[in-house]
Amino acid sequence: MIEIRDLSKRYGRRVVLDRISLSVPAGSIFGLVGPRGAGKTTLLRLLATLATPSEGEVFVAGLPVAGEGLLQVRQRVGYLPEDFGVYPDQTCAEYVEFFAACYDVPPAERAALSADLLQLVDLYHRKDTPADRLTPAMRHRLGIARALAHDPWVLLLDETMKSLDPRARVETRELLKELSGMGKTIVITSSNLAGLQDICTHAAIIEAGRITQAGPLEEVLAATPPYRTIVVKFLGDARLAASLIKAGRGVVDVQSRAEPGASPDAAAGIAMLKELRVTFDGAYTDASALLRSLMHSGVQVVAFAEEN
Amino acid sequence: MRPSLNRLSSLRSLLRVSPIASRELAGRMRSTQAYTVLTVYLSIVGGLAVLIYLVSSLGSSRAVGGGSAVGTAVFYFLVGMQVLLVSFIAPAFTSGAISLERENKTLDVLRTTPLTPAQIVRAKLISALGFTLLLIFATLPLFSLAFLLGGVEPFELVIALCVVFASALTYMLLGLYVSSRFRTTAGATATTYAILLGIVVGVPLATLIGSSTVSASLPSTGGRLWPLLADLSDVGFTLAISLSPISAIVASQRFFILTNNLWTFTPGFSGVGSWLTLPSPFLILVGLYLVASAVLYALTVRRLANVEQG
Repeated sequence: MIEIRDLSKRYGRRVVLDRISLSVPAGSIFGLVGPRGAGKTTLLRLLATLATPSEGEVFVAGLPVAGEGLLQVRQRVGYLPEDFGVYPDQTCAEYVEFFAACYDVPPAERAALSADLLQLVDLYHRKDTPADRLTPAMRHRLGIARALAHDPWVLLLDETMKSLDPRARVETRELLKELSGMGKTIVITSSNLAGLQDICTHAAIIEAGRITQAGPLEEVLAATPPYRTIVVKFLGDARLAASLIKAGRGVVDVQSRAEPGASPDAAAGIAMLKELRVTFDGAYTDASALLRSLMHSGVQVVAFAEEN
Repeated sequence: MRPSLNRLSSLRSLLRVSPIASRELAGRMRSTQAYTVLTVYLSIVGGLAVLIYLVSSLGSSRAVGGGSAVGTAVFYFLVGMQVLLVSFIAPAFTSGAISLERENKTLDVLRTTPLTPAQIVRAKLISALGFTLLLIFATLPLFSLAFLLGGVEPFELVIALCVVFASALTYMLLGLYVSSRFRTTAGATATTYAILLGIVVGVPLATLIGSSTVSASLPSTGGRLWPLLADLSDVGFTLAISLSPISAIVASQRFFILTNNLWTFTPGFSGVGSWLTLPSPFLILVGLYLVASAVLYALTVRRLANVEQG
C-alpha cells in the first residue's frame, strides 16, 4: 500500500530523513517506532502530502505523493497529527460534516456519515457538544472520525496513544483493530514499541532519520531489545530530573506528563507532584543506577515503577 | 469536447461555495460579535449622519441652495465612513484568517484535504468580503437622505462605490497575505494596520506637503526644463493622491467640478505644467488596486502552497 524508496528530507542543511526505504503492506497496522526527533512525524507529514521529499520517491496506493498524484493521494489518506485543533464554533457532528464537505462528500450523505463515524468512535452521544469542550481523549477520537470522513484507504496516526489515559488507550486499540478489520492500512507512530505490540502486525524502528529494523512485528521484536516504560513520580525540579534521566544509560526517550488534579495543590502552595514517562531499553542495573542518581541529586522520588 | 468539459468543471469549482467559506460565514453570523459590529456601526454612522444633517441645516436653512449643501455634507460624511470601514474594520476580518488557523493547529489538517491553496484563499476572502459587503449595503439606505436633499450627482456615488469596493478587495487581500506570512495573529494584524495607516493617511499627507513644497520652489517662468519637471511632478502627485481612497475621492470630485469631465483631468499641482491629460484619480486607484489585488492573491496562494518545501 505504501512504498518508500531512498527517501531523504532536508530542512536547510539539517537531514531529518536519510535515504529511507520502506514497504507497508495493505491492511496492516504498521508501528513506526523511535525516540523523539528521529523523523517519525516528518515521514508521516510526507505521506500526508504536507511536505515534499528532498530526494527519493513515495507512493501511496501506487500514486506518487508529490506532483500530479497529490490530490488523489489526499483522497486515499486520512491524517491525524499528534497535536491538532478544532473549530470552537462547531459541534462534533458539524466538525465531521465540514471535513466530509472538504472531501466532496455529497451534502445529502454528510449527516448520516457523521452520525455513523461518531458512533464508530463512541462519540454519538456528544454529537451536539462544541468540539472544543471535549476531553483530550475524546478529541482524539473525534480526530479519528474526522480522518475517516472520506473513507480513506490509509490512516496515518501520529503519537495517538501518547496523550491518552490507560482506559482511552484500551478503547483506541480496540478501535484501531476494528478499523484494520474494515481493511484500512494504519500507520501509527510511537516512541515505545511495547505500547503498540499488541495491535501492530508490522513495525519499523527509526533512529536519527534512518530505519534500523523493519518487517513483520515478530521479526522486529526478535531483533530489537524490547522498550519498557518507567513511570517516575517525584517532587522537585522537573528540569533537573529530566536532564538526569536523559543522561542515564538505556534511556531512549523522556516525556513529561502533568499529574491529574495537581493544579489545585499547586494553587494552594503545596508542592506539585510531577510525572515523567521514560522509554527504556537498558538492564535492571541501569534502572537501579537511574533511581540512585535521582535520589542523590535531591529529587524526591515518590514512585519509580515499570508500566505494565 | 474534453477541453470544454474541463473548462466547465473548472468554472464549476470556481463558482462552488467552498465549505470553508460556508463554515466561516455561518460561524460569523452565529456569533454575537457579528450583530454587535453591525449594530454599533449602523448606530454610529446613522447617528452621526443625522447630527451632520441637523448641524448643516441650522447653518444653511435660510441660504439659497442650503438643502443641497446639507445633502453634500451628509453624502461625503457617509462616503468617508465607508472608506474608514473598508480601511480599518474590514482588514481585521482577514488579517488573522490564516495565522489563526496556524495558531489553532487547524491549518495542517485543512491542507491534507483536496482543497487547493487557491480554493482556501478564495474561501477566506469570500467569507470576509461577504460580511464587509453586508456592512456597506446596510448603510446604503442612509445615502437616500443625501439624494433627497440634493447637491449630489449620481456619478459621485459611482466614484465612491468604485473606490470603496476596490479598496475593500485590496485591503482584505493585503490582510490575507500578511496573515499567511506571520505565525501570530497579533503580529499579522499590527503589520496590516501599519501598512494601511501609511497608505490611507500617510500618503495623502505626504502628497499635500510635497506638492506645496514643489509649487513653492518652482518658478512660474523660466527655462525649458521647468515645465517638463513640473509635468513630471504632476504625474507623481497624481499617482500619489490616487493611492489613498480618501484623497482619490476628494480629488476626483474637485477635478470634475473644475473641468466637468468625469474620466480625465489636467493636473496643475505645481502651477507650471498644463498640457498633460491624465485619468481621473479614482480610475487610477481602481486600476492600481485591481492589479495589486491580483498580485497579493497570487502571492498568498504561493505562500500557502510553499509552506514546507524541502
